[in-house]
Amino acid sequence: MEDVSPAGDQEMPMRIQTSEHCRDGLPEDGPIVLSPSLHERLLATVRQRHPQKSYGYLLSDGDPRTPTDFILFEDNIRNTSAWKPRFESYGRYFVEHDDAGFVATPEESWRLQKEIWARGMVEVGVFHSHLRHPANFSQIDYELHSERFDALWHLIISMRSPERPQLRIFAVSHGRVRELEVRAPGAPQHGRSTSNQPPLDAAACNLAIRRARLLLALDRAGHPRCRESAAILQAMDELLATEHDEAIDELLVRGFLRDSGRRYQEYVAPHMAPLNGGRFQMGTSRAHARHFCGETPRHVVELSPYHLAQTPVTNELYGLFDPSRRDVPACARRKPVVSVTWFDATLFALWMGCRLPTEAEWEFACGGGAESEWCCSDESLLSRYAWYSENSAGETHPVATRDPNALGLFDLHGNVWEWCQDIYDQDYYARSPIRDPVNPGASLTQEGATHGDRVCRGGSRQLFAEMCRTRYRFHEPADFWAADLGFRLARSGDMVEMKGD
Amino acid sequence: MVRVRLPSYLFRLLPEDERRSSARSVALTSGSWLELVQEMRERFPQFAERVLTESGNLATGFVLAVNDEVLPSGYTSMELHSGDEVAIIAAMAGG
Repeated sequence: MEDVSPAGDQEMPMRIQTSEHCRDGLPEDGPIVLSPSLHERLLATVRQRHPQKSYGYLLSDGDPRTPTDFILFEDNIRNTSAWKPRFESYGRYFVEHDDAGFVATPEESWRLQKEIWARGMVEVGVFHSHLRHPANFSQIDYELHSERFDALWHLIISMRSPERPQLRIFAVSHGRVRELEVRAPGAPQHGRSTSNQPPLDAAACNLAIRRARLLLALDRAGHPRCRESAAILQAMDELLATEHDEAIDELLVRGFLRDSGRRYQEYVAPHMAPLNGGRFQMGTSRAHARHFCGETPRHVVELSPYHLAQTPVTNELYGLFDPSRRDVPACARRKPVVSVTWFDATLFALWMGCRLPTEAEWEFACGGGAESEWCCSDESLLSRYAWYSENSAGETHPVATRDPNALGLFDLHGNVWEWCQDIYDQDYYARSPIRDPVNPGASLTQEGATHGDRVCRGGSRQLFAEMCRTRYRFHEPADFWAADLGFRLARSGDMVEMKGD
Repeated sequence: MVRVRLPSYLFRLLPEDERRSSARSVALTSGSWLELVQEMRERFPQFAERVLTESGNLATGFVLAVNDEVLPSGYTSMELHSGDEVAIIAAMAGG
């Protein structure tokens, strides 16, 4: 059955949500709950062993969604003649990194199985750590898991940023993969935006304006005095919620953003590509979704015209905003800025008179709406357009040192992941509006708002071709940063320039 | 009577009426590994499809232990006797 959603019109702007679309045909699922003590013990173990890979079973004495313990393997025969060729057949990454991948020995498998039985427990999940990659479920993870364990969910712990391990859990059913919600201390809450907040009373308005006056202040050079991007964005959000036009004009339009129009014209506009937008097919059909999460249904999107930067933001450009980032070797000035949170990226974009691209804008810009998996016709040509696991030598490279795509844009595949505006929801495609979709998430000022995970796209220097695909979706917490995570600037056709006084 | 014990993720592949044992084990009458293979194919087709190759070996990624001894190979000609305990489990692997 073709699963392309019908093109909408003005009278029916939302896609119809069905259980089939929403759940990809997988059974209804609930969260996996990791208690604080289990979470702490598991992460402490994985951290202590890093950079050695960790893997094992999550165990329960009852509820399969509430593990109470784990059991860890020590031996690994991945590099024996029986297994090494298979791993290396997955690409250069597995040739260059013989610590990527794991296979348990028969003897240890049997010994630990007996221990599980002796303790009266059952295996409810599998876990393993990724040493350099995000916590995604790759093709090799999928194949080795589904050969053995359809019934068990699979927890991946990413040690890509060892101080900020990220956990994701996946379930495989009927050949499809679905990400499950993790309930654990500090785990992000994925998904949907929440309702609008009530209007602020007078006292709250005054407090918001006082906070904004403090947090939106700039120094003489026009840099924010406050170095906490999330706090500045929250202060902006609170200020806008006051609907106090004079304060907004003073503190934001003629304050924090006063030179954004000039900065845009001087530093950004010459490097922006005008994109006409229009109608394209976003996402992946169910028939081609394989082990990729959140890419279905393939659906029609209509975009308004917008501008997108030809390259990711460089250290050189970001240094205008954050002088501490200027201090890089000359060879790194033209490399993408990395180790920026979604808040940093969003704030920098505003300061430059821009915004982050929406996920739909990013996907259209990457593939131009073509059917192929990358901007080129097949994977054998990807090295011409991307720095990724097959050619990057594990290094981030200066921007625009591979070929541009048909729209004149560089580095959309590989080099660095790129933050997008949207909050991540793997079911968003089933309910997103047809025109200019963006999943905005909760307001930063909302009580209990968690910001959720934000979308990142494009893969990076050390990712496999499959994760650098045009339609590949991933996500990280908004306050996460990593050495291969950057962003690029976008601007709406009708964005008002805010020029200085 | 040979007892075959399985971990949870393989035991669930057995037909519902075979899953009565709280110890997640089943009793079979086979006198050799090849007879056991045949009996498992007849009684537990979903399990057999996952775990056994056409020639009667365990598929890559699975481990056989008989009477607490891991048998990596050579088991296809193995005789089984009443009271023997057979276990089939997975050897975990990933990327």
